[in-house]
Amino acid sequence: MRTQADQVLKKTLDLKKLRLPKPNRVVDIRFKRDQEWTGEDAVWIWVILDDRTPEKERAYVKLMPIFDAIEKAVSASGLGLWPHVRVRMRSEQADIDAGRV
Amino acid sequence: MGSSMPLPTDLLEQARLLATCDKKRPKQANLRRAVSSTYYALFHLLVRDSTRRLLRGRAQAPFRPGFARAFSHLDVKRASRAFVAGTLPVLGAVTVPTELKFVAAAIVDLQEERQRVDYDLSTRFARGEVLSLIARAETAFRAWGEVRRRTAAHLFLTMLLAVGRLSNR
Repeated sequence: MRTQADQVLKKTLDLKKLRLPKPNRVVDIRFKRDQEWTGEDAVWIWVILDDRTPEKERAYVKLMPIFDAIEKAVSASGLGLWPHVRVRMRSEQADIDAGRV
Repeated sequence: MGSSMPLPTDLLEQARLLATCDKKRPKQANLRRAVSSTYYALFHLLVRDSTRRLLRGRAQAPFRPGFARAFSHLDVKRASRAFVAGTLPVLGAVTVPTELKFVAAAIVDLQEERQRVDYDLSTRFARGEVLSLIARAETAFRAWGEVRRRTAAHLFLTMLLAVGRLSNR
């Protein structure tokens, strides 16, 4: 059941509106609200990269500005959710979606 | 009694080995253990420095491994979140260097993922996300190296143990 928080997150994390640093190879953003192990509400966010992203552009130091931008956007949304940002390649996400892992 | 000095770096190295050992589709078991090792690498790095700070000198060194058991994951989380927010229970607002904020946020994030890999079987993990978590921990190790001698870092190490008591005041 989609809640108001999900709607706010959908708008906040809309790739077309989210001002991510350029250049970037982000092709999609997925998210899921959940609770941390201690009960606090949080949001898990997966930044999906194009499979053709060169190794050096997958380095953490290169991705940090993207993570920072997403964390700032979630903070500015006023939902009070701690953002846990992750990265996946497009094919990895496809495998997970298809239940192949 | 063996030295625990290389344990944090060994755990980080182990994490990377586990995350990359499968040539093709990685086993969920290896990815999950990799995340767990990554969290414990950073956890033990901070616990090690905290116990060294609290039990100084050669005479007290034998007590450090046992004393390390006084640290709870919950208090590590509480202290770290407080430092990310820049507000400590009872003590109030503190200035937190960027590097320390990074370390604190990293341990919160890694701890959360460690809980999920160990207990949430409904979530699947990808090599890419595990490698980025390992890289985050590696960056946190470097950031800690830069900030560990500063006053805020000393306070952080003490709060890892004390935050629970202060939070209940």
